[in-house]
Amino acid sequence: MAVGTSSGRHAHLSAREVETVPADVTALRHVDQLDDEAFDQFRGLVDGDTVNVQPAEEAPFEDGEVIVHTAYYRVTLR
Amino acid sequence: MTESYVIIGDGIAGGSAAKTLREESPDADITVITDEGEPLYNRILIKEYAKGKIPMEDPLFLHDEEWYEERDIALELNTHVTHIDPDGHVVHTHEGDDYEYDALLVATGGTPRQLPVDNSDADGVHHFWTFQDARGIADHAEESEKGIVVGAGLLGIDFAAICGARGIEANYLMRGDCWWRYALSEDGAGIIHDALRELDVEPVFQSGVDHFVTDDDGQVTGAVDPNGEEFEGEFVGVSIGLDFNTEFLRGSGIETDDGIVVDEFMETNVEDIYAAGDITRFYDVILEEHAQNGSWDSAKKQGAVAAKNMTAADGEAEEFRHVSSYSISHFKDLPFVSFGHPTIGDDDRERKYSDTEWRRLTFKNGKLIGGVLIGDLKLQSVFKRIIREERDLEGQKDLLLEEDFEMEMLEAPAQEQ
Repeated sequence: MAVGTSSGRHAHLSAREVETVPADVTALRHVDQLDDEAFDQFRGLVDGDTVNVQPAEEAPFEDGEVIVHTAYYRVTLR
Repeated sequence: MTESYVIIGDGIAGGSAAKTLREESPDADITVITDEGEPLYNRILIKEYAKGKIPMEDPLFLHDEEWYEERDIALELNTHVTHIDPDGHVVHTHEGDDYEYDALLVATGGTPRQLPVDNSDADGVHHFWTFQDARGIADHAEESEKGIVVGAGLLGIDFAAICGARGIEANYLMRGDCWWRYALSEDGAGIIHDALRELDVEPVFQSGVDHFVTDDDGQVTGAVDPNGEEFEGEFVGVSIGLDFNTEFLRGSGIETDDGIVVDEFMETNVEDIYAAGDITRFYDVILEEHAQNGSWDSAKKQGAVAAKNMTAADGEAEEFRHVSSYSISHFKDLPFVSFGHPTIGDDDRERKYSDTEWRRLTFKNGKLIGGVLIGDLKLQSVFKRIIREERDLEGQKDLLLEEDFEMEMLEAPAQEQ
């Protein structure tokens, strides 16, 4: 289930809830490991709010990364 | 001459310090000593492993042994430091090895405290701190049906969540009349109690443990509370706090006070010895008094600040200035975060917005110093910023309880740092 997306000049970020951690996960973090800016962006992705655009290399998430909060969310960076 | 740095402890504070030391001092000799048998892992997420939600181990390791080799950092696993000699600048270990240092960082954290009652060390009574603890808990939880949880705080609730995730029907024995009574009122705690019940974990108030009951094989079978009521359970989780690992500092002259006392630069009262992480009683420059904090982000930043100051030239020290946060993410659709210092202060405000939303804020000298948010975390970063900016909120505290509070509603300017 897609729960939110944001588009940027060079990056398109989306997060979807996953039931389990995929076997090929490249990075795995708990929400407490995010700094305030990344946390707000993550919350925006989950809530479907508008998130500031940004170039891909400055995204605070890795493509395929799973963030653990009250559910597990897989972040996609395109 | 090449500088020598020794770090005792390889949790996130020690790991962060090792990384920073190498960045700040490319040619220095760096040694990390740990009594654990594995390198740095993600201590926040091992609770998910114990719950069975993350079945694989590899993604939980933050550093493998190659990480240390690539950075020319010596890693000494399974090594106990027995004592240190501040005059000689030497660390001694249980195997008789000596490590000389120019600057030393102590980041040894703590060890879970046992309940001072009969049979508290029986088989089936678990304490939770290390990855090895998580493995044992996972194995036992998988085959258990009835559980008992003790410790009505931020760590104890992990055991409750493990029971819930593993289908263990449990009683959660609390001494007071609500969970985390130091930071929550009954209104706030009531939301958590309801969430626990949805996990099939029943809060039991005005209770606790008088003693544990065991079978003939020494396996725990239950607990009797101070009221004489017996609760069945072959899986017991106890989290009543940490004893800080400072035994090896005896005779060193390092000041301790339920932890190692450090200034805002993470330096102890003994020259060239620093401390970071859970073990510190650090000078909080925002609070203007010494404080403690067990959060991941705080430990990580303390380690980095200590490392910078271990390598800094005179007059270039960096102070630790940080507002931490600690989330509970066990309850579906019910986020929870505590930030700053929610258990102290001279004033507080709270409001309940719905059956699942609640906010409490703590103040000292008219300034926000901490709080707890349940159900809606949209203001987490805003409140942390207000704390960092040390805004004088006299006469405006209630504004912060507005459901849709925004920074612009405040008249108080940020204080110049």
